[in-house]
Amino acid sequence: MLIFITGGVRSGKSSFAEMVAVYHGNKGYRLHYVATCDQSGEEMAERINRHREDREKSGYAWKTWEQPRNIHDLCTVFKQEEVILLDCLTNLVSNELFDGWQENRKQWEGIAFRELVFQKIMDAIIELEKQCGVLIIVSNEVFQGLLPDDSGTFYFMQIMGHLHQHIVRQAHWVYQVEFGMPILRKGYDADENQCTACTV
Amino acid sequence: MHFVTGGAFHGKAKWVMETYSASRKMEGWFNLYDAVCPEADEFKTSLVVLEGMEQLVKKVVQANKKGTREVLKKKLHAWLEWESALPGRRLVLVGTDIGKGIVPMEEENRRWRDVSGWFFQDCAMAAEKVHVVWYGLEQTIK
Repeated sequence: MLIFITGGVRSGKSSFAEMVAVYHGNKGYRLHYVATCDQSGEEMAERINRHREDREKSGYAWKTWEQPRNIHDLCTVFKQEEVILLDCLTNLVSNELFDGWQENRKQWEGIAFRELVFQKIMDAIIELEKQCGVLIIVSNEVFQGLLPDDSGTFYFMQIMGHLHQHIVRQAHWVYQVEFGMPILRKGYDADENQCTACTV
Repeated sequence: MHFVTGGAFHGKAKWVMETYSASRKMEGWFNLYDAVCPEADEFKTSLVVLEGMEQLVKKVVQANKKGTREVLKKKLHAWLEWESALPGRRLVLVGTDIGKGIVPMEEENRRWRDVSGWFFQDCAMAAEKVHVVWYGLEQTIK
């Protein structure tokens, strides 16, 4: 099962995602946390710690995987009955797309590279979902203002948009979290075995 | 007239293509990112799709210091007249919502954003149907 959770920064989407994971974990599934942010900077380290403490306090046995890039490397480590929470897609895309920026390799300017990044991530998501019981993906709303002039940001938005569209199409459940409140955008009817968009 | 909006890269054009069995390559689909916005007397097909309304707004804002909303309204009315002149004609306007970010630094970008918001209100007011597309899922708001 694929669950997609999106929202603005500090909207409470990660906490909600953890609740969803625990809900499925209660059925006896093991909980895995795939963290995608690069652990540089004090601000980030603080947030990582806060989220990690929350997970420890939750009383459930989370296993954390630090995977800023190449999530397909994890495809073989999970079992059918396990829950994976990937937090978050935004960091993963940014790490993949801007890989090599320190050496001034502007790979993202090539369309072939961008397509590769898109395909790599989408394939890994589909593969991970097949491997485990429940895959929960958390992502950010980054499409709220004017279109950016700089090419890096533009292509980043483009890939994020395409990934969101593809994931929403594949997902069984889609939530948009606003100010801590989850809004169901797409739901799964187990009896009818089909997904339907929800009127908002 | 059918007005379709939503954030950038949300699959708006794709949704229109699926809904109307249309394609970007067909005659009657105008992409305002690279083409000049056509006048109503240039519409030759029964289905006309104008994609990138915010790009039209940008050009009008760049060309006019004042009265931009009226210039755009006039265009809109000419298109609507074309649509109602014969039964079976259908006009679809597609525009990216650029109004939900922080206030832009540059005066021109602020005007672009403001006028887009006003013009989109005018489009929604005149439309029979309005849909917001969110990552491919549609929400009917009119």
